[in-house]
Amino acid sequence: MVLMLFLPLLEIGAIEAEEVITQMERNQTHGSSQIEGRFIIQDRFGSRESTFLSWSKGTEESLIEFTSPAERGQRILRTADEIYLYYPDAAELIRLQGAALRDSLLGSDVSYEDMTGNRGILDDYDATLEANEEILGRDCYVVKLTARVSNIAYPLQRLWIDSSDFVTRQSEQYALSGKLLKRSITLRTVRQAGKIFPVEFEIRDQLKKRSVTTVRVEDIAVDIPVADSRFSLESLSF
Amino acid sequence: MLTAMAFRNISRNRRRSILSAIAIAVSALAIVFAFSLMNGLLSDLVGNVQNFVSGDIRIRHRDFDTYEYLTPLHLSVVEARNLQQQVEALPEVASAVTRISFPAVMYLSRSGGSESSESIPLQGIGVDFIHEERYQELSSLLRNGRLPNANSNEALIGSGFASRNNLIIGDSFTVLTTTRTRGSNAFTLEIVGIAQLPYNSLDSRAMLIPYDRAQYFLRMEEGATEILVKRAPSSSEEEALAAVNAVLEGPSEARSWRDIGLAFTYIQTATISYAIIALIFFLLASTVIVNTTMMVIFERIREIGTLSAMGMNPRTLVRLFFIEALFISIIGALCGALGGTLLSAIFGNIGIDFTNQLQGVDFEISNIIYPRPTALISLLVFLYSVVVSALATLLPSTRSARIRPVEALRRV
Repeated sequence: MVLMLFLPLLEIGAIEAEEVITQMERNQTHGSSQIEGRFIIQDRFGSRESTFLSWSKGTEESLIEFTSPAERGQRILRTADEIYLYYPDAAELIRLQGAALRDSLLGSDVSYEDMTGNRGILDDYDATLEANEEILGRDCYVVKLTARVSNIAYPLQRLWIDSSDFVTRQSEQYALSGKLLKRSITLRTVRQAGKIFPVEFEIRDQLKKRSVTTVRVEDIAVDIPVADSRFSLESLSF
Repeated sequence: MLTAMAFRNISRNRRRSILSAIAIAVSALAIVFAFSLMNGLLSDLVGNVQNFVSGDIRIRHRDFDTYEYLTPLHLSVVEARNLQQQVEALPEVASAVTRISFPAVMYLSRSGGSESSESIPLQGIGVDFIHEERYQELSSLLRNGRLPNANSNEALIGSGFASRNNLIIGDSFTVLTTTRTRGSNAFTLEIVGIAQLPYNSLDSRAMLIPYDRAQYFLRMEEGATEILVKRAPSSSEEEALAAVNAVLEGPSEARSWRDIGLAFTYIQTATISYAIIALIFFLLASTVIVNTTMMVIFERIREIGTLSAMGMNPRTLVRLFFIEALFISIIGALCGALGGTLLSAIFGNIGIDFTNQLQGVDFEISNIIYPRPTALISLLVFLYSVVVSALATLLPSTRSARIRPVEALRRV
């Protein structure tokens, strides 16, 4: 499910560009999931870890609950394109909007904005197949995505999608000016329920100095029953 | 004999003498008031910097300033409470307080629903309200309500912040901030006090919460971002700094407020600027004094001619006018200096409100400035006014005394 959260960063993927994207999405999305994992965040001040549990349903609903001591009980709910934050010490939920979406999640290289816009990639982007390139010893299709809509986190993306298993091996996100903003690399994948998807990946915000975030999935269960109520505002603060 | 004659001249031309004295008095009054205002402004700036920004001495993690723009709460003063007690026990120190400063964003539910709709940046400060009272009498700044209780989710906010966001006592708001572990945390606070915080950038943005709650919300453990220290009046800054440095261990360091940020540099620059402004003011006032004195002399050329015709030599004439001017200026300058001191003392009590003029000014200058007259200011202005007025007679009276009596008598 955490993979779903970072779909714009990690998902992508055709022989015709559209075909590559469709294959990749089919491979990396699932009906529902439950994941246990950790963020390992390294910056100029050192390294720290935060653990989490997450649940997802389809491509639009997901919930992360942090379990590490410093953030215990904090939750992030994503419904369609809305993001809500729950903090145990706060009497109200915080709906992130506008510039606040660009804030960093736990001071990592991931922004809340990275967790939005999880409709199908082809709904928002025009895809062009640029070349084939070898990344981390794997042959990949290089697909360039150009945004069709303006209200989107990254106007331009480039994806390296494995030509054999359609896993996104690397992705880059750019500003409208063409400046590289983020780069993600898949470090490890797992095959489950007939699908292969990344379980460890590294994200670098190119605007931050000496910063890298590794997201590691430690346990994953897919296509399991997850109650709809888990993604409701009422249960978020319960 | 000359003195008696000068006195007679002063009383004979009473209206002219009074007008001359008034011109000198008004100038002296204006200079004393302007100087007292500038003195008050500088004292206010120094007081605000020492109360809210740096103390006389500030203890921080040695790397905090370098990364301050990143809000590095993890670069904290460890075991801050113990250290504060140790420092406060030093004979060179009058008081010390722990602080946790942190930027935050306030979320306001305008609709009363579960969705927050507005986010406003603010400056959070975790303070120990009991110690703070000893340090700077925070309660004297209260306009409404009370100071927050320790270990409660209560907040004291600036009056500017309250009015800008329509907040009143009893309202609650939620604050989102970054923690020491560089994660995030949000918490809801109830407003129990509204204070007139001294300067605009603080009054319009600040939220003060109990120190222990700030520690908890920000996961500070036993750390603080800084300890502010006020030296004992009997100690010099150097002695106090050396004594504080002697008890520090690890990565914490103590720095004098003179070495911190731009405040001292600004104060130095401001002192020079104000001295230049004062000089200009002095010169303007001098022109009034000189002009008045010269006019008086030139008006009396015919009288000078008469005195010359009667045998008074030019030197004696100059002395006569000098003594006259000296008496008038002593009376004028004395009244002006006393009036200026009195006026400054009155405004020193009620203050002058510069709130509108200081809107948007992001510096540690209070909205209300209290002029601070001093004996030195009054004495210097008095002496200056007397000297300028008396000297101003020399040129015209010397010139007039050289005019031949026949020519002088012909003038109107």
